[in-house]
Amino acid sequence: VTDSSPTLDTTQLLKGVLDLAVLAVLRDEDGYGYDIVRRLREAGLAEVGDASVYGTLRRLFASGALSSYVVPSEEGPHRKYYALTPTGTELADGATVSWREFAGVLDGLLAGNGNGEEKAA
Amino acid sequence: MTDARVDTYLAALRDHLGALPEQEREELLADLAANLEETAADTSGPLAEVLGEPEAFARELLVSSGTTAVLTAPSFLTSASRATRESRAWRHVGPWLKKVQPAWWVLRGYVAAVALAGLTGGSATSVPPRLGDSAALGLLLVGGCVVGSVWLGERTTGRRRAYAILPNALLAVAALALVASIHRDIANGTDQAYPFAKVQAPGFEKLPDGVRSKLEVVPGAKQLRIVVPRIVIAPAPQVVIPPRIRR
Repeated sequence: VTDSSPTLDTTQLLKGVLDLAVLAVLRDEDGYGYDIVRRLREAGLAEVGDASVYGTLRRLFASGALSSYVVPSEEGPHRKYYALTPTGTELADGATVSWREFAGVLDGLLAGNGNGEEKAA
Repeated sequence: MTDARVDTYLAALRDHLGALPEQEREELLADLAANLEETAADTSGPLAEVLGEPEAFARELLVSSGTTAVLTAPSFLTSASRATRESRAWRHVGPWLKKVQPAWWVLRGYVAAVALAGLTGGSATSVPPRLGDSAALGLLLVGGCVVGSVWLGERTTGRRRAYAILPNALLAVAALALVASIHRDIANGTDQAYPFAKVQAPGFEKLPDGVRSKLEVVPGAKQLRIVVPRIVIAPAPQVVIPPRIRR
């Protein structure tokens, strides 16, 4: 299938960096599932899927990067808030460094039209 | 307050998440319920327009949560009932069925009473059914069964409905058996509940071809008679049917 779309498939890009995006949102402020989805979309990740955010939260929680607490809600079911644990903060810091390096390399590649390495500074 | 769209969506997700251990699955769905309620509050259309189809949502959920569990296909029964509920026809018929549901509960209770009367050796084909030999006990049985059926009907919601399938199917079989037995009784003309069906016509196994008999009520005599046209047979056999045999 030769679907020569002019833009990059952002859903594919997102898959690699969703963990970091979620960690970044939670570094700002604790949040619950739908709230995090909304904040990611407001930040510009319009195509982020609800299910992948909920799944990512569960995985990060299971791995110890997040803790959770329940806040009663007046108008609906109780909300499960997530917060970064120290492990989560470390993970976020490490992932931030990785992302900056990666983005820098790619920026260099793009700026140099293929001869990125020397301009990657 | 819960949104019906959320319940429907969650039920569909549940079907696809069958591979997860039950506790984990229910906890996951409970978490999702709170989030989906908010999604639903932000949109007036079907949730699938925002969230994608339940199957894709469940797949994405499993992949991103890093579990090794695989997506399960709902059983034929669940997918068939879901397809029915989501069909256009059901959207029209469904609300109406919901309205007449109490009538169905009453009918079900009655059928259950008839089945019980039949099982205990009473007369299932009389109206009301007799319990043993007693019409009064039969009436009591009908009352009890109808009340019980309505009570059960009101309590049977959501997932509990699955447990109603077998008893309802058994009752349907009982109802069919009852119809068949009434049919047979009428054909044989032997059941006392239908004395009028018994034909006594000495000398005549059956009427000659093309001759029609007709039923007549004899005023005041509590009798029915079958009259056969005079032109064909002389003397015309006047078939007298005994009055209803008293018990």
